[in-house]
Amino acid sequence: PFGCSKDKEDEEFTITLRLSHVFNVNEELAKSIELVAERINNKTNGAVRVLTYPGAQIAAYKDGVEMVMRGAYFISVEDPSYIGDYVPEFTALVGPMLYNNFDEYMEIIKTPLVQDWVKKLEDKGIKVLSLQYIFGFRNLITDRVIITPEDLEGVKLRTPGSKLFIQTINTMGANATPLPWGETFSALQQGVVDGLEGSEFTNLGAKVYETGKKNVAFTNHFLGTCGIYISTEVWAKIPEKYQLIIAHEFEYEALQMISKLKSQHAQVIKDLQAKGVQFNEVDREAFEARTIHLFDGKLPGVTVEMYDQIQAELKKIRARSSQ
Amino acid sequence: MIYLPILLVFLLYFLGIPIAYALFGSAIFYFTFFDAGMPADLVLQKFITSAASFPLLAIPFFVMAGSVMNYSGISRKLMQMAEVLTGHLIGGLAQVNVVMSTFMGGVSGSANADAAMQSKILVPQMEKRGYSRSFSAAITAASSAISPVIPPGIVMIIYALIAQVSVAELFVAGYVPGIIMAGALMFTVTLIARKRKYKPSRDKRASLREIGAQFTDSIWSLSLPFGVILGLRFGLFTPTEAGAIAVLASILIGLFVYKELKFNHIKHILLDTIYGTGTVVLIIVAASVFGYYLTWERIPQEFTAMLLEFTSNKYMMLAVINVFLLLIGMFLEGGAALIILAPLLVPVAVALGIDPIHFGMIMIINIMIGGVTPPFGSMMFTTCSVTKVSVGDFMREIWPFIIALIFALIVITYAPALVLFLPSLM
Amino acid sequence: MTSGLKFFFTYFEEILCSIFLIIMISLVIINVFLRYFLGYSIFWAEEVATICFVWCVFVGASATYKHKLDLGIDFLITKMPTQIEKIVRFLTGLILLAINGYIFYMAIVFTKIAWAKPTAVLGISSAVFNSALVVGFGLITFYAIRFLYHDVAAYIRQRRAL
Ligand code: NA
Ligand code: NA
Repeated sequence: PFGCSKDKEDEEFTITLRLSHVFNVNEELAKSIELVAERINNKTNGAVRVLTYPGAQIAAYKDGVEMVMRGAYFISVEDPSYIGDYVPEFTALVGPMLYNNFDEYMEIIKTPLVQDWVKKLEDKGIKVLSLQYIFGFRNLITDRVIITPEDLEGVKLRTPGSKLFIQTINTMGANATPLPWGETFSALQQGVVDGLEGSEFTNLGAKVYETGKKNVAFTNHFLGTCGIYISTEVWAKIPEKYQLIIAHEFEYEALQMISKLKSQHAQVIKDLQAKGVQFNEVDREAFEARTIHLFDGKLPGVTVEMYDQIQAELKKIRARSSQ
Repeated sequence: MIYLPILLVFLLYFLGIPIAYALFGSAIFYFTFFDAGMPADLVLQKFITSAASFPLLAIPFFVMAGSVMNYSGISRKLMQMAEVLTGHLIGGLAQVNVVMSTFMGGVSGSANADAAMQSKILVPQMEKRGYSRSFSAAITAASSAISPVIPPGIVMIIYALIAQVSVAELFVAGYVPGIIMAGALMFTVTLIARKRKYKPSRDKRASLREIGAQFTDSIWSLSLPFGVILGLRFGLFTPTEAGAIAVLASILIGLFVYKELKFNHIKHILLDTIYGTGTVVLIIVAASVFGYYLTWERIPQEFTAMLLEFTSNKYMMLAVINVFLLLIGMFLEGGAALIILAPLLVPVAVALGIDPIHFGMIMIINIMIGGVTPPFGSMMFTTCSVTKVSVGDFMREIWPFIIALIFALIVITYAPALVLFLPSLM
Repeated sequence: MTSGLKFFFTYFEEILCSIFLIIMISLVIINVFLRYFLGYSIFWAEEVATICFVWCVFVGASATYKHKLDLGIDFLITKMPTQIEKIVRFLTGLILLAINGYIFYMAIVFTKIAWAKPTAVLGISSAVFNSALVVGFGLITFYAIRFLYHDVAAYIRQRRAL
């Protein structure tokens, strides 16, 4: 009888969740999220309604995560460094110059090490629905060939107004110039800054090459990735059968997006080359030798120990994949 | 029920509650008493994020620059120059007002910054020469709608990203529509000035020698706007920083060249800036907070959906969209309106065979006209706050200019070649 | 009260705003020069300038509220009979007190809970932003009470005189 009444309760259950992210509607991540929302609505027969707000229309970045922390009926889609404000291990996880490819990151988030961090976050009120929304490596886009940190001397690079980015770009040898995205295009065009850092998708999508910054240095200094977060309290209110659907849809679409991304990247590079963009490899070790110091107290809450833990796991992962 | 906060804004506003507090009150009413799915105090996030925006700093900077220019004699010398050039024309200074917005369009990306600065510099000078203050305020607000259309402009960049068009092409596309808007306003000024017998301030056109003499006398004042434009073009600073540089430059010219700037002016300059910024930015913040409620409830999306069911004829649709965007522009701030509506409307426009660059211009101009239109337009509030003209007096003077701008909009809407000619050369 | 002290209280918000305004403008100018001549920019300049601006906005709002400079329309209520106009004005005074008092209360709650949330660039407590709301709306609430008190006192005085 107890089960029965619970089932009945489940039948009548409805919830509206607002999901916010900063990507514009044409970007792959926004399209994926749209699909997820639609499928969740369908598969739960409208019991779980996910309303999406692309382009940071409602609370984004730190505010989005704060919404989740405060128990709002809200799904936040943000870079894991934002949950790093509450569990600093996540800032370390997406720190500079850690990964050589997407798979290394996909493997490390499955390890007990990272899963422990996820539990730690749950105790603080944030349930992680996914950490897998990768949208590409970030590289340096400038008007000159950059190979070593010395080449960056005196180069003004636009960064987002975030401590992690500013510190990294400065440590790599450039002068980080935080600018709002809205002012960036003109700033590049008129030479207020000499370049910016971003993925090839951003380069093509925002037509950065039109500003004359046509050199891309493959620094791969950050792996651009987003996690999906919801309040643990709100999550607990959702019946298990719906929880399964939600979790499944987010995971499924992340994997779809990654395989799409991998196949599209080569084409994007070709398209950029057709616009006159030139690509070059860099002395990655020289950059790594610098950015490693960031993990020693330069990033809020991040410790060398976390860096060592991540490197130890990566070593195992690399050993496995080379077999 | 969900529309109750909209009714509440009107009610509070017409009861005489200042617009900023009417908007705040209605928005927090929604987040407190409706099932919004979040703790009500989190709406304060929006209070902070809408004010903590670096590009908004252009407003206090340009208000302050305007005030310093008034006290240091720079404005006077600029006006003397303008008068030598346009004094023989009917409605000379009002024409200067329009021309300055068109030029300043190349400097600032923000209509509100343009409106604030010219309210500070031009309106007092116009009043001295016999124009009514409310007429001066109206032409200042109306012409400020031009500056985001002339590149560079923040709203253009937002649109380009959403519609996936080239920023460079969209920038170039703005020149002709901007000039058409300026032409429409200048024509209207001439008509009004004739009717009201705003006399030319001088009997005949100035001789070349006279122009030359005035030019030498005003050279330092002239160096200010041109210096700012050059500095931007050569990448010395961003449009927001340009405001701060203008303050510094006008202080230096006032102290060391004209030597008119005195220690006791400081107090007045600071007060001008604080009151100007306090009223103007508070309204922008309040509009964003109210817009947050609209977005949260997806009200603009619902209206768009309704709209799209209306017709499938291209020209009819453009007309319907024009009317719709004008209405929205009266309520939402320009950038916010674009972020919400462009993703919904651009696909429809493209499906109907409208060029997305052409459509971008239509959207931006529409929203800007909405910003000048009573009862809630944000440039209207900026101008009225800085010039201390009542909204009622403003309303009586603004309508011919709104008609002129709408006329320009219609021309631009139905003659796409005007917009697309320049980008096609690229 | 000495005249100096009186000046301080009459222009409290204006003095505070002036300080923020000067810091804001100096930072932006210094940053432009550093970037152009030394190729170096102060990475926290934008955030600190923005913090100063937020304080200018909300403390400045209190200054304009105090001097009744805020923009609204009153041509509708001035057309009403004097008695009704008085009632409406009293009513709007009450509504303004309710709105601002409530925002003040929420600002305290919000600032307290968000204390641990760091700012994006400097990583200091976001209270540096949020407390501008506490101070700004706190002062506005104070003036809203004072205006209401003056209205009521004037009304009572008028009744007594009759
Ligand atoms: Na512009
Ligand atoms: Na103007």
